[in-house]
Amino acid sequence: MRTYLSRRLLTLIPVVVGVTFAVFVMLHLMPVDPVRMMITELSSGQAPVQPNEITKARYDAMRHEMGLDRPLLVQYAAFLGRVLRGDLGRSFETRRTVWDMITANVGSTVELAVAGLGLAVVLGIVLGIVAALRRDTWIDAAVMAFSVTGLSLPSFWLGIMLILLISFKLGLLPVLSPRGWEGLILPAVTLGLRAAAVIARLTRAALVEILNLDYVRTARSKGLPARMVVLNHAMRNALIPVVTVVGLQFGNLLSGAVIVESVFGRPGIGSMAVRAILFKDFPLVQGTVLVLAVSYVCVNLLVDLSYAWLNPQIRLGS
Amino acid sequence: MAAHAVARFPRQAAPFQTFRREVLRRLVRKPLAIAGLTLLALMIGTAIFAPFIARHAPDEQGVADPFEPPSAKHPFGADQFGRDNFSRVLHGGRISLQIGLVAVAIGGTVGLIFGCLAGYLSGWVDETVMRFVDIMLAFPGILLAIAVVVMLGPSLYNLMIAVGVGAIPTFSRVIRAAVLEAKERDYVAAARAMGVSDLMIVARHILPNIMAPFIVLATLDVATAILSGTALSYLGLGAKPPSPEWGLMLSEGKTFIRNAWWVGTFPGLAITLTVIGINLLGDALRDALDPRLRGTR
Repeated sequence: MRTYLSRRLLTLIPVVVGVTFAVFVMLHLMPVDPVRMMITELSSGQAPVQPNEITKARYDAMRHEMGLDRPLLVQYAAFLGRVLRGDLGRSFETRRTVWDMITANVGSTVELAVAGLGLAVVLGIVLGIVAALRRDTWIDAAVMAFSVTGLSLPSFWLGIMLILLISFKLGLLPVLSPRGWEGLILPAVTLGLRAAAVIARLTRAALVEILNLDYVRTARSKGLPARMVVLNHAMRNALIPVVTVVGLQFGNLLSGAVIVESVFGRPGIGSMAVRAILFKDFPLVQGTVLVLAVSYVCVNLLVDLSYAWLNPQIRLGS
Repeated sequence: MAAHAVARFPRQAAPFQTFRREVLRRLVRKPLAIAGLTLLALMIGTAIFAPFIARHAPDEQGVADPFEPPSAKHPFGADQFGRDNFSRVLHGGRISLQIGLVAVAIGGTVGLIFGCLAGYLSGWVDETVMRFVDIMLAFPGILLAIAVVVMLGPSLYNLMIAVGVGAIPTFSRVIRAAVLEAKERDYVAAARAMGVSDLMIVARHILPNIMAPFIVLATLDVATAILSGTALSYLGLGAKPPSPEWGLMLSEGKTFIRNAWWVGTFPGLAITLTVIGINLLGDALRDALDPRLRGTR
């Protein structure tokens, strides 16, 4: 396990370097001039600066001060150094540090993602087991129909329809999501349904395959109760692919939060990122993308580790 | 020399045609495949013939009262400018389907090249390409597309590129795995022993054998691309008003959802039906062409 862990950590290094480099280059490819942005920002509050009022000397001085006249790789090293110290720059719009804004919003997104994932895991695994045990009956067909629909529903439409039906027509839940579990239900359903559909499919497929294996037949013929055969014998192995996909879904949920948060007007990393993009608040965009990408890489690492832990063939490096 | 070698072993047309027929036979026997095909044919048909079916141009204002509810004359009602919602949804299908197809063409082509390079050449090429793909995979789904849109600027064409770029990693991985398997076959070793060039081996012997996973993935990915494309437009990063793009129509209709549910409901329903059609067809294709791909997503 330790060899596997160290090997896996080593392959992580080029990925993290690549991700930070991509995010760094992103800012350079933006269709704006950061020097002009900075000069305009520094002068706001006073008389607005017209582009032709910026003298060449002032422009060059600012460019030098921002380090933009240095070679690209030197700039990248400086950027990496700042990132490692937790300095992601300041938001153009709010003037707060990007790090502050991310930490202020991350809790809400994690709450949403965890609720969505919890719902998806419970719903997906239960439906998957039921469909596998009632294979080729109408129950199986119904679960698979649910799964295809879940995969096909655009989350922004699902969210709006839930608001229309549950909040407006039936008046059961609040429209905008205030803090607390009541405001979390509709966004979590909207976010988690797709993952539930994926997990249900996979659980069914894995369980159907395993239920045909010899050791399950042996357990059955020993006269063990059906529930014990399924839960103790079959599910333990069926869970291996499911755990992998649950981890991968967590990453998808983070990006799904971008849409769900803006549909429900929830604060969070996702709605903050969309707002930053629309307002051309580039330091904030860069910081958010970086944090999300790195956390995605970390979640994937955890998934791989849990996979190795569950599956001795990988753990022992064969 | 290489040309002679290939010429002596003409491609066998007959078994391939039987295979194609067998796949078709397997498809036709599945009710879900038929349902998917019908749904998809309906959506594609109405999109292609939209100008003939729709009674109004998608941006023609005042053909109905603002927010006129659905009626026989305006089956999907009217929006805030008195535009016929039915005509707009029909025309919107052209945009969304185009986004799906162009994006998959981009992602599929680049992914095919990446996958073949990595899988066939292996060694440092494989390492480099796959690490690059890993980096792309580190940007979760829609964020990669958002990043590309931010760099290129929001427009419909940039959105297609963005969604296409987002599809590259999955294609590369699946194609690489398929190439790795295909190149171990005896006929590839035989071709190599006869001195057939690498390019020829890939084109003649490997590509035909990895088409099954490619077709399945491409089909299913059109669905994903349509969902991402409409989502980006919904967020304001794609189509601009007065375009009848479905995601944009939904985001405009969201404002009036309480009093005029039809404005946002029908475009969303159109997205869902199109994507269900593609997913059903893709699933059936996978079962018919390559059952091993089950559970790849």
